[in-house]
Amino acid sequence: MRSKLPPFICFICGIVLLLQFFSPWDPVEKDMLEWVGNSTQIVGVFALAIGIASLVHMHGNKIKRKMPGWGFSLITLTCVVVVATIGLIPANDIKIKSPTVAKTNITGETNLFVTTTHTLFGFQTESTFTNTLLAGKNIPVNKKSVPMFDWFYNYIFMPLSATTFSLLAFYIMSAAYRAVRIKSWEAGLLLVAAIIVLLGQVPIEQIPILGKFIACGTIKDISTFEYLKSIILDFPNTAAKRGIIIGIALGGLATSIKIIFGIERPYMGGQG
Amino acid sequence: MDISQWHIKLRFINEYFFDFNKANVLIGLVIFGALILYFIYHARRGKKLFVRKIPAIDSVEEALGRATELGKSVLYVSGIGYEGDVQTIAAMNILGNVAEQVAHYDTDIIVPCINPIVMTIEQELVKQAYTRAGRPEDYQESSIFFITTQQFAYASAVCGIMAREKPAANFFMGSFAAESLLLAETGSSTGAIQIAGTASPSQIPFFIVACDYTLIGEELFAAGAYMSRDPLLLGSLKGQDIAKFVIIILMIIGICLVSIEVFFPNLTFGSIGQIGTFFKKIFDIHMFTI
Repeated sequence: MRSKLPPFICFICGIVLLLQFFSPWDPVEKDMLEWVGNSTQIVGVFALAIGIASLVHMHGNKIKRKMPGWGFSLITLTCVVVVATIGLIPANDIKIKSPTVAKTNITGETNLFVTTTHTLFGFQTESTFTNTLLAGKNIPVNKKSVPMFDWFYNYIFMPLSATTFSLLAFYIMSAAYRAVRIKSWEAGLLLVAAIIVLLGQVPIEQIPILGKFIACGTIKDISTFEYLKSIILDFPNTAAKRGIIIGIALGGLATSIKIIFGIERPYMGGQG
Repeated sequence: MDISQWHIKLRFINEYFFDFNKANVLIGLVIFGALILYFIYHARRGKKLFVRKIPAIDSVEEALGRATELGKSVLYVSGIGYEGDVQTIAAMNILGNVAEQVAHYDTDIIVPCINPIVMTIEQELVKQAYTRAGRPEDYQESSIFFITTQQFAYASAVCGIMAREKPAANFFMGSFAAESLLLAETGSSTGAIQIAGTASPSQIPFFIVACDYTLIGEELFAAGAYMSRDPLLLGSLKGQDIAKFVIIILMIIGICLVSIEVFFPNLTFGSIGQIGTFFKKIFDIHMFTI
């Protein structure tokens, strides 16, 4: 029973959701998907508790045994507790800085932008809420917020994420250098293509004195490199990409079929 | 019953039961599913199937052997996808096989997770793998752990693990976004042998550049079956290859017919141009509009 029930549930859910794709009936097409989404969220919330338990267990052990780098574990656990506590603080009223602006877009929806402001630790934070509702209806303004949580999010978490993301620029440089080192004729070809795309991407004709010379004139009213770049990106690049995408789609479909029919059972530890 | 009554019935079915606009998708799905099930059936009956080599998978043993020789751990990252993402599922299948070999070699494995549900499934997968390898007592639940659900915080944490623990082999399998190069370049700087696999088209070039071996696109889905050598799973690979062959043939025919239509618009004999237009419609979602 223990080994047969999960594949059976998987089969039923797989077939039902597959049929759902082909049915235009609203209760099937929309409501069922919404129900699945809500169920996933509920499971996710419970799983998050398991995740946090794992995090506390791992870092707690490090601190307890004074393992190398235990100080970082202490910072991690402190942050978990502080941010979770801040999140539990009841929401309070916030000042609305700018007047409510409601604009109707081309799809007939009204986008409402509300800019709010509050001061914390000497910093004045601003956040914009976007609310989308049908045009012509009363638009409720969300006046509740947790400023301290916003402050942590906007002034600690976001800059740290942006910093990590910005490292990518340097990594791209080193990866590009490694990719275009001429070790074979294919690498040489890649280098030539990369230079053409790079030159096509930037307005080289605007470089003083030498710009027009480097640009090598125009083809069909656009600069030569821009034209060559579009040829490289639109034809060989797109063809290769589409080949990969077709393979991915087939591979994904095959994996789904194997899971629906219980041939592959990763959700049971790979065993049946 | 006259035609108009049939039309009314079809409209009713189209409105409530079956969207005829998606009929071509269903036909494709049935044909493809049948092909896969046919080859699985043949594999089950003991027919030997030839499956092409995947160099990146053949190198897994080399990477694990190196980690064992150096007495270092193996890092396995299963991407940033959620548990329902087909790439994450493929990454889990590979993890099962990698963990089994890791258990055979008596090496340590580190599996940092971005999703708590994925973590729970992977704990179970690795535990089963250790049991299959005959070493259930060596399994450590704490080696598969949750970090955070935030993309860049996760990337930073994994980069930190690579810098501190210096694993001898890094596996990056599954769904990746901007953090792919951050992980692969950091791993490369630690001198680890790196094997990556993703079906995210925009991240494939980054992995090709920064890793020693890369599973490109569909190879990620094939890897689990290839490693397990399970005839049932290999049968599905064969079906997949045949389906791809059929699609290539259809594409070539389509290209020829559409080209004839474009270059010879006035050609009427045999209505080749019209056949080309019909061919294009097969791949169009609104083929059977009522």
